[in-house]
Amino acid sequence: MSIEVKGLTHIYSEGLPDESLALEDISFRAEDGQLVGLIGHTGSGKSTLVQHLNGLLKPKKGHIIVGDVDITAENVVMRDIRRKIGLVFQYPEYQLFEETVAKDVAFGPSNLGLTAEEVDERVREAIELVGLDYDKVKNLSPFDLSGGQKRRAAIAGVIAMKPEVLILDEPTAGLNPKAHADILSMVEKIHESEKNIIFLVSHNMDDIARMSDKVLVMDHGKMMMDGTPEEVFSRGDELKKMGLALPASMEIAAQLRENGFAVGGTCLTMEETADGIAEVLKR
Amino acid sequence: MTDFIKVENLVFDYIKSEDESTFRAIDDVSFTVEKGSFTAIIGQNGSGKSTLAKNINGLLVPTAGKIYVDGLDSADPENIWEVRQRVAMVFQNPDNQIVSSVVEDDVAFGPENLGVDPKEIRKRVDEALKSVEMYEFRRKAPHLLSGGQKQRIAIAGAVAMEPECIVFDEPTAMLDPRGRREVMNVIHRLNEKGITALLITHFMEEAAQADKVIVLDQGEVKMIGTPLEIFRRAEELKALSLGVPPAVDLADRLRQRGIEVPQDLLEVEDIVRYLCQLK
Amino acid sequence: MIRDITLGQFYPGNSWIHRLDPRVKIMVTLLYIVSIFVVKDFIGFALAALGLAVVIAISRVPLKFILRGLKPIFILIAFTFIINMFMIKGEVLVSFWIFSISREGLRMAVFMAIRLILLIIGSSLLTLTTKPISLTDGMEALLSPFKRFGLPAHDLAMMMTIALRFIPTLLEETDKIMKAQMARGADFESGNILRRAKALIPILVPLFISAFRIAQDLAMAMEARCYGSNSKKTRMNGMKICSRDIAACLIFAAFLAMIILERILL
Repeated sequence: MSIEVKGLTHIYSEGLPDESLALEDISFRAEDGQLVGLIGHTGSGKSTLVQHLNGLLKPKKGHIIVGDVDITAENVVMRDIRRKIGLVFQYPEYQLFEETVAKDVAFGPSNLGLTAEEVDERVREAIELVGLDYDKVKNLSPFDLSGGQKRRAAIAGVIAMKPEVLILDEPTAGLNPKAHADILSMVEKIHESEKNIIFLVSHNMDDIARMSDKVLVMDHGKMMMDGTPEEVFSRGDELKKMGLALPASMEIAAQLRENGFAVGGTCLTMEETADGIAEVLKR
Repeated sequence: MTDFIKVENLVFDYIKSEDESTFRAIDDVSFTVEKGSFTAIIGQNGSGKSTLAKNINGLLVPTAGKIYVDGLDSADPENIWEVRQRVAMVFQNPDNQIVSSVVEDDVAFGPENLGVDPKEIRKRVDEALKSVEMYEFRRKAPHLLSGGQKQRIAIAGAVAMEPECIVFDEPTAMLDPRGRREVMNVIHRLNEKGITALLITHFMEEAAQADKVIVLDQGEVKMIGTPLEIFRRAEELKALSLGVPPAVDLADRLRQRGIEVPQDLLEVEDIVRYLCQLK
Repeated sequence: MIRDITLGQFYPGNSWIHRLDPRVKIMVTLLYIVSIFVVKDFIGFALAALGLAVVIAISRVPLKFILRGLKPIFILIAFTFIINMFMIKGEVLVSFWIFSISREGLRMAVFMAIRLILLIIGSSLLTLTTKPISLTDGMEALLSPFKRFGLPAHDLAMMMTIALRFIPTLLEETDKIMKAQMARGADFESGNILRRAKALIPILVPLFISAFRIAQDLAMAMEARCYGSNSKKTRMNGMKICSRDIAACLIFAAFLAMIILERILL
């Protein structure tokens, strides 16, 4: 499985006075089992891009090929896109609507036209995968869950569709440090067990640097960088020009190097930076 | 320095409407806030920090204990408008606190309710908008602005009431890094101008910028002190589901590797400077 | 699609029309609406349309923007047109099967369509050129004589301000929820009416919850900013009738006189 985007272009309000180019000739590729970090400040075109990947928006030009299916083709069935690509929006807990958690999680898979048994099976699996206790929560109203649990239940609603590509838009927005870390380890667990491609959209460079196999950087509707976290975050000056920051561990390393303190290593995590510093000092 | 806010043995219970059972959100909390200071309150979701904020300006009335704002008892209905004028509030969601469809009219909302003279309101609105650097947006519709800009409008709305203190209830939680920087800069600037700032946050690097940090957990004060005093207790903070700023995190890891690092390095620049002179 | 709705929106500007006292604008709009129902022939409509055109020109609101607002109401206009065309009996022009179009019917249909268009443009011009808050201030002032009969003029005005303020926020929210449910395979476009109505539940429930959450937050924020305090409220931009408003009243009076004369004399 792979996903390939070729020459994707999108224009907002075409023909109207407020016409604007939202995406300009975007191309990239993601392979099976990769976790792809997508960064860029608000308005850089990230959300427009992920909505295209899910078929919610139709491109003006370009193609999105998942496996061997072109989901931008004329005759493609929406249901097939949803089956392949799952999209979890920001603050997903605001989409919960059913009487019970189990029913809410079942909404997606039932729309795929699966049998009742298959749906039940997937609901149970998904709820457990996001770290909730199926037997405890299945009959609860989603509105009686705590904030963090609500978000997990909402994410389960997409995971239950078993997408081959899972897109998470800012899954940790508004969470405190502990809940933030918990949601990310949940993401890693999903990635491990489902072996899918995950797109993680985030403003948190520390998370992106630590978790991604590949990082995409967007600015003004264009794809500015596409590489490993080491490659992308080594271009600190360019990132700063786009209003983006470095992960804290790399920012410290960069400042040290600037002052003649030659820290080695990639410094993608604070642990690596500490190692690098210790090495220099112990020499 | 004089104490501007005095919280004495504050207790607050929420009462569930279904069965009248109670839930204790704040349990015997005491602290003071000095005039002109910058205090941060940190704690995980559900630690009671928002409830505490709402008690301070009389949006909620204490179940037990007292809060004095500039000597005024916040629970006394006689004082309520006086207290709210002196302690303004900025909330988390930038969208849900802007009342009007035009920026400047929204900023005028508070002073209008206070019955300030129209000419004086005009003056205050212009000054407030300039102080958050949103003056040129005064005739714009709020829904067309970015999150950080909207939050600055909300702050201007508080400033226009000419309060002595502003309580910021997680003002950056829903913003992107750019918006967060904008809002933090504004908070600093207002504090420098003499406004007492009380910032509720879950971003440790924001709390590190305050004069004093209060750590709240399950409705109780767990620590009070300067950022230096608080963040050197990294293990305890982790146990409370909180983190430490990046510089403190690195210092900790270096110590584990047998490198001696002083306790007073809170900012990235500090630790960089220290390490460079070690080499 | 959702972004096309311009009805009830404000178009920021600083034209002569924008600066008029909202009370004057509200009264003039009401009288204008009455006047287009007084008019009975093409010359009258031409006059009314001309008047409106002059106001649009002075207001500097782009015509394109105003016409975009007509789009959602097009069906209503078309419906009125067809009903009038077929229902009114008279000298038959064309007929087929059980339907027939009469001269009077056609005339009436055209008139009704023109009336509706003028009415919509006229009233949207009021909202386009008047800040929502001024509009509510104006309404409040005009309604305040009824306060003595227990009409809560200020609260009504506040409710309107908030409604206007949150229209774009709720539209955005709806758009977000719709997309999120579509991503979970929700289908709003196929099936019969019953199925489609049922398909709306996943949107309506979260939307209501959202609205309640906003209401709770907003009420708290308003209280924190001393809404409901006992002091007498003031307004930053207090309303004062000035020469420009008097001029507007006189010009409009002349326009009304013309409409009435046209009706009587021609």
